[in-house]
Amino acid sequence: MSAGEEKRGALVQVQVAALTKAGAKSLAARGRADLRLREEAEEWLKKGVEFYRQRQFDDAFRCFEVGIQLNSNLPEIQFMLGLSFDEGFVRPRNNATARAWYRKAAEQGLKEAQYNLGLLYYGWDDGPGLLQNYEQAAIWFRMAAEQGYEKAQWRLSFLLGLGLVVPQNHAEVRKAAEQGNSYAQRNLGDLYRDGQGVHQDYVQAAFWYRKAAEQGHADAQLNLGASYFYGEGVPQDYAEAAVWWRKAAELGHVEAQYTLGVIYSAGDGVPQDYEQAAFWYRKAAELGDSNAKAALATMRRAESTPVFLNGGQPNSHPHAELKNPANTITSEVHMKDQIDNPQVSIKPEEDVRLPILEARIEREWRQYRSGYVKSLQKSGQLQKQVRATALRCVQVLHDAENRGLNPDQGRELIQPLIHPQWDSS
Amino acid sequence: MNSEIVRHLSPEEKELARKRQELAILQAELTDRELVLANLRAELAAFEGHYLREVGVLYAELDDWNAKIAELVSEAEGSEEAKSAAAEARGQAEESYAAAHGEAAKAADFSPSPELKKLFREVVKQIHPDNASDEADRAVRNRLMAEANLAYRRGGEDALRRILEEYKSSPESVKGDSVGADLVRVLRQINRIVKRLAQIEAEAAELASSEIALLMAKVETATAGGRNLLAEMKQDVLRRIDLARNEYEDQSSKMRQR
Repeated sequence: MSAGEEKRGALVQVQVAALTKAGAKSLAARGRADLRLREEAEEWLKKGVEFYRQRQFDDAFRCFEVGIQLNSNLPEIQFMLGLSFDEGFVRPRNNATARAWYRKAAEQGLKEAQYNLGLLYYGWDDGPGLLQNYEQAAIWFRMAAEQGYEKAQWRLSFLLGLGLVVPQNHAEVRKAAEQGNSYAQRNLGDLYRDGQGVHQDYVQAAFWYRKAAEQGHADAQLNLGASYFYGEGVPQDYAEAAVWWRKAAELGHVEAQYTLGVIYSAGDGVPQDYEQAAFWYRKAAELGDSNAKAALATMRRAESTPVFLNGGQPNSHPHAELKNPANTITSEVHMKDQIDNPQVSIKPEEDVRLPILEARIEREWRQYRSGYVKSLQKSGQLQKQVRATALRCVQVLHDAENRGLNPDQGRELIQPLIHPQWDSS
Repeated sequence: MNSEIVRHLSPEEKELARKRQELAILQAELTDRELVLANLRAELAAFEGHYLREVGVLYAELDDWNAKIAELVSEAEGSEEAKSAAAEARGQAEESYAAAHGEAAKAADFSPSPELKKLFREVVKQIHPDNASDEADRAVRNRLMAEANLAYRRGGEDALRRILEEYKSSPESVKGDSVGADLVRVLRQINRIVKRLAQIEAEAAELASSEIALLMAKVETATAGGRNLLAEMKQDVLRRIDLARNEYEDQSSKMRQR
């Protein structure tokens, strides 16, 4: 490299340095100019909020419009514009426009916007552009809740508790339950009962059912009653089961009303009382429960049947046999019918004790193949299949009991009955 | 009384003593002012580096997207106007890139230790060119002072010590002359220091009113109020980059459809 070139090189370097210096200066100037615009936008926001508070909505909206022109990124202005279209105080209400503005602010982490966006997806309001999506609602409620926004946590708990959204993890449901959301408490109880995502733990299940039941949650009362009835997680106590079922029944819970009818006719935990049984069956039947209707029909028939037509048994009220299920289901041939052709409607006599058995068998099922049962529940096939299999299983269990086997051995015996059906579908 | 051993100072000597006193005061002030200026320069350079690395690079990225969009438009329209707009946008993007990734952006954070400050003060006091006795001395001091400024900026305590040593051992620092010559030298020194003080004031004022200093003041005020302004600016530009990127993708997918 000659001296001349070296010199020229140095000169170019000096020029680049000067340019960089000027560039750095202009970058600084740009930063300051943007800051000024931002400050002005913040001023307009302040003015707009003031107008909004004074219910001068037109003026408020104009301020927000000017502000967003100066700086399109201010989340608070985006939120206020979203609110304008959400509440419709200036422009006609428009969920889609509100959603777009809220989303901009929500993505920047403004928890109020996240919550309101969640509410829009929650879809409890009407208006054009409504788009109900519980999963989306949960996503935004979750974000707001993570920032300590209590209202959002509460809404999220509600969605989780009702099973409208799938919980992200077990801890999420637990948190909602611990915050006292009865829906989440019942949900958590179910998870423990079925061992979904946690180790199966009936004591925990009963604990959370009780929390929710004490808050007057009818589903939880039904489940807590079942816990007492089967002695799952609590000492077996038919009377206590009846207490909780009655509470749920009085709250209008159809299943609980029907179940209460069943225990009154069986005299489990309550004095046997056909009048009471009929009363609760009628309640459930009025709400359209087909099992209750069938039970009522059976009771009527039994009452109108002369004693001599009933195999000469003096106390042949169908429900009187409940205490010894082996009496109700004796014919192997008859049972076969049920299994081979589950579509065949089940005779009311057998129907009476079904809910309790169903619950029991269903739980056995879930324990082994929860995924399959879930899909069955969704497709609505569960009831038919459960009934047929339940009757068969109960018979096998009782046979086993009569042969002096313990419940575990009995459970093993029913496995072959349960598995083929799962595997075939 | 032994009056004859009392030496009466000549008017020249009296003047020299007075001027030496004046010079000493000015030298102390000069040291202070040089230190203030050096700190201001270093702080601004450090802030500028920080700003360029945090926000400047984002502006450069934003400009790049804007240039890409302008180029797409120019490709689609083909008009002279669109072409020159694209060229201008590209030029802007290149300038921003050079600035955001240039030497200024490499400036490290500046937080001098008390020891470093003390050392630098000593260097200024000893070596300041305006305290030079003659032109040769002045040349040496100029060189050493430039090195010292750089060393201070980079926090090099050892380098500052070496500079002090080098000056003390150099023959130029040896002084001694007649009263008349001393007086002339002192007067010249006073003159130089007064000029330098004025220069320092001018430079400090210019620095304080520069864009980067105004920005720094704003950021510092916000920090005192609990706000992280740089982070906010960053968010703002990032968001604009997102929008520009989306626009570019929209435009280019439209182009492909044609």
